[in-house]
Amino acid sequence: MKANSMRNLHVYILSGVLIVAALTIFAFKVFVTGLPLMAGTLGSAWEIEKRISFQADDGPVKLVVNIPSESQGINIVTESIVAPKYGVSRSTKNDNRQVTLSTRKASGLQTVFIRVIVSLVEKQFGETVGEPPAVSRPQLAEPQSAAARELLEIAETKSSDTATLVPQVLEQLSTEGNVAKITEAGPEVGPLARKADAAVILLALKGIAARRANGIDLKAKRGDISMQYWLEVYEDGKWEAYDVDKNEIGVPSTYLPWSRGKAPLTSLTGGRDLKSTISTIRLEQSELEMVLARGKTKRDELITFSLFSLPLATQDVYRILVVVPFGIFILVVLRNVIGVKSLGTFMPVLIALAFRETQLVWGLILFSVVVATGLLFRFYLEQLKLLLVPRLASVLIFVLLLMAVLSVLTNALGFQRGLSVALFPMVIMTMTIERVSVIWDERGPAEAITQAIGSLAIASLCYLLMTLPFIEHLFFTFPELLLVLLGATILLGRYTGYRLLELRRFRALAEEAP
Amino acid sequence: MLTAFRKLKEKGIVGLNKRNADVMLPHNPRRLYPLVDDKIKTKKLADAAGLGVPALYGVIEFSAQVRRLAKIVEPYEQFVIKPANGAGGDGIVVIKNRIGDLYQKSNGGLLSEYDLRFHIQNALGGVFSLGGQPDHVLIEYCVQFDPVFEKVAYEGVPDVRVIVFMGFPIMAMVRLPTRMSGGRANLHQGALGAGIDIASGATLSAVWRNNIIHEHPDTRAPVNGVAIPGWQRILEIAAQTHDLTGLGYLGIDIVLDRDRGPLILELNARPGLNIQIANRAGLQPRLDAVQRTSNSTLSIADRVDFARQQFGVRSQFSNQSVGVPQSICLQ
Repeated sequence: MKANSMRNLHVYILSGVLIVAALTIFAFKVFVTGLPLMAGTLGSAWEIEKRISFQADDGPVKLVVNIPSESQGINIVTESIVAPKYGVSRSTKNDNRQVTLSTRKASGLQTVFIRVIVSLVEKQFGETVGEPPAVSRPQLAEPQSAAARELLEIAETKSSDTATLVPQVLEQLSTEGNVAKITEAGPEVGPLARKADAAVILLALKGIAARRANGIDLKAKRGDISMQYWLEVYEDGKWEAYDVDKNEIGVPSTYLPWSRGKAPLTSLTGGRDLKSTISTIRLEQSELEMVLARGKTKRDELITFSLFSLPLATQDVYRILVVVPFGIFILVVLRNVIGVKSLGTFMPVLIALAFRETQLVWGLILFSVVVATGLLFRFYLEQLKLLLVPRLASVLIFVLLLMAVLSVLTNALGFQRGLSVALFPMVIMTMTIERVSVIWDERGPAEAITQAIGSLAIASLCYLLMTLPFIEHLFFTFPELLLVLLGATILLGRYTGYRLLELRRFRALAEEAP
Repeated sequence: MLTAFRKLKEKGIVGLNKRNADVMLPHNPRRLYPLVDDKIKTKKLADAAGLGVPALYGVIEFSAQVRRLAKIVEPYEQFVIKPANGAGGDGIVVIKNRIGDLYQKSNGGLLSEYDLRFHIQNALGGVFSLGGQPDHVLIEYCVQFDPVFEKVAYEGVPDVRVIVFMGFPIMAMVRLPTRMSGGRANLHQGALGAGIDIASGATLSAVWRNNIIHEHPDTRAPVNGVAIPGWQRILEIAAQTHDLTGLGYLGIDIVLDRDRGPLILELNARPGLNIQIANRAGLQPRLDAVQRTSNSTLSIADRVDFARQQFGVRSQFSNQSVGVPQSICLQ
């Protein structure tokens, strides 16, 4: 008895470890990687294309382009740069991601494209912001310095902390002419960008890190993509976005930051007539595809080493294979907890797999027709007194012929489904015929038919559960759940309680007074 | 439903899962199974230990030897054909008579030599063996059954099944063939199982197709109160098989021969659980009692004594059941 409880403890620990480990990976993949629980969830994605064209001066060309970076609400799924004949290198400079395109010699009209697919995400855990940025106090000339002090003083009296100071600063800068008192007019930026710049200077005087963000609104109407500017202020370990038009905290989640600071989005040496246009398209893409594409771009090991990394044809095979353990698990429950008998240990699951192709009703009809006709043939063979293995082989050949005839007949009658009889495992059907006929001889027709119908019922149940799209998606996307099944199966392996049907078997004893 | 489960548990009824996981797997090492699964090995083992077994007339190991059949059975009017690895009594043919060239089965059916050869061929191919493995066939002495069961057996040979746990005979029943079982003594084929009081060796009520009954369905004779002759010897044989095979949980099938006394028919490493219905008692308390003694050095006689003291049915129960038999067929 002691050995018994030690063994049970071992089993509990083993299956506990398996189940907990698997569920941990599962939770990580759902909550952090963002793999969707349901198949076919549509995500919000946009394809953004920036088209840059210029005239090259018949010499070396260097083009530095800012590319969008991720923000709290936006993930970059993929990005690609279409610039033939140009060398491409990526770098990060002053919070900006840049692509440098360079070539020894180019002449005439040059066009390059930068395509980025981004998706909106609901949740984003732990935005990565490193050390607090160093703030260098701006050295202002006297008129600006006095104006800045005055504006800050008013703003400070109406606020208590950074979160309330920033809107007040913006409020002060909204007054006509106040921005001009702080900054000089830049060449190509609009009034909101200047206002943001002025706010950055004022906040720097208070030792608060801030920066201008330049980007686009994904929700903007097509053909009307203008640059949007907003202010980002470093508060409590993260960058908070402020709307410089409405003077309040927060910008729409569809704002995609393209660059930060005053540096121009694009800079060109060795060319002229630089033009760029940005267009966005809303994509109907499943959330799953987006997460996968993003994982591949970022070299996420969970995605790189998942079933999704396999060639498509192999993936299709595994889509079917991963649900087999689920069917087997159902069978274990039916046999060891319920106590149902079936012909052959795993036969119902194999039949259920064949039902995938035939669909349930046709599968049941075809299977019954083949097994019943095969049984007739088997009874006929009984008279010939054939030896076991040649007899099995004869039945198998007969089963194959029968399948061929059924395919031809149903095809001629116009039932396409009938063709799928070819996908039935013929060895399984042959063994089923043999088993049924032996039981028929030994235990009588009633028992044989009961067991055959029982097996078909189990197969149907397995089929119905195994083909739920939810189940297939779950086990293919999260194969670690197979470890949960393994753990549960090991647990069931030490289930020593009664089977449900034993209640019926021992009912005479249960009804007696003890 | 839960109360039904609780009642079964209170009675100590062992279910299939419990038998497999807690009794068979820990006490029956896999490597010992061939000793009991192969009836030829079992027979040799028991014979060497001086335990009675039905005499072996011949063994057929492969197809080409089937033509020897006539020669093997020539000296004998009656004989039994058995697959060496047959499961659950399948594939056993009992020949009671020779009518000219034909062989008559115990149920009266006639077979030609050709039919018998085909049956043996099938058995050699593994039709009746566990897992369909190729098999051997043995031809042996046909037991002349003791008249003690004359009134409560329909054709065929009744046999006594004793469950032995760690060398202690803990539960027993006698399996009585019926018309339904075709003269065979296997419960799942429709034979009757009557519980036996370990202390006295007298039969109790019986189980037939999972129902508790008190009279034989064919002969209408009461099945309870039949005293098994040589009960002490049967228990000793049963206890000794544990020492021979090393299996901790074992079912021993013994037939009572009119002339030769108790003979071991076969051993079973996976004995069924219907014996609990036949005895209207669960195995669990008896398994526990044996495990509590945890004294493996007891002699065979001591173990039998222990069993007869511990596992006897309360006297008032056996008195009552010897009285007027009632047929209660619980549905």
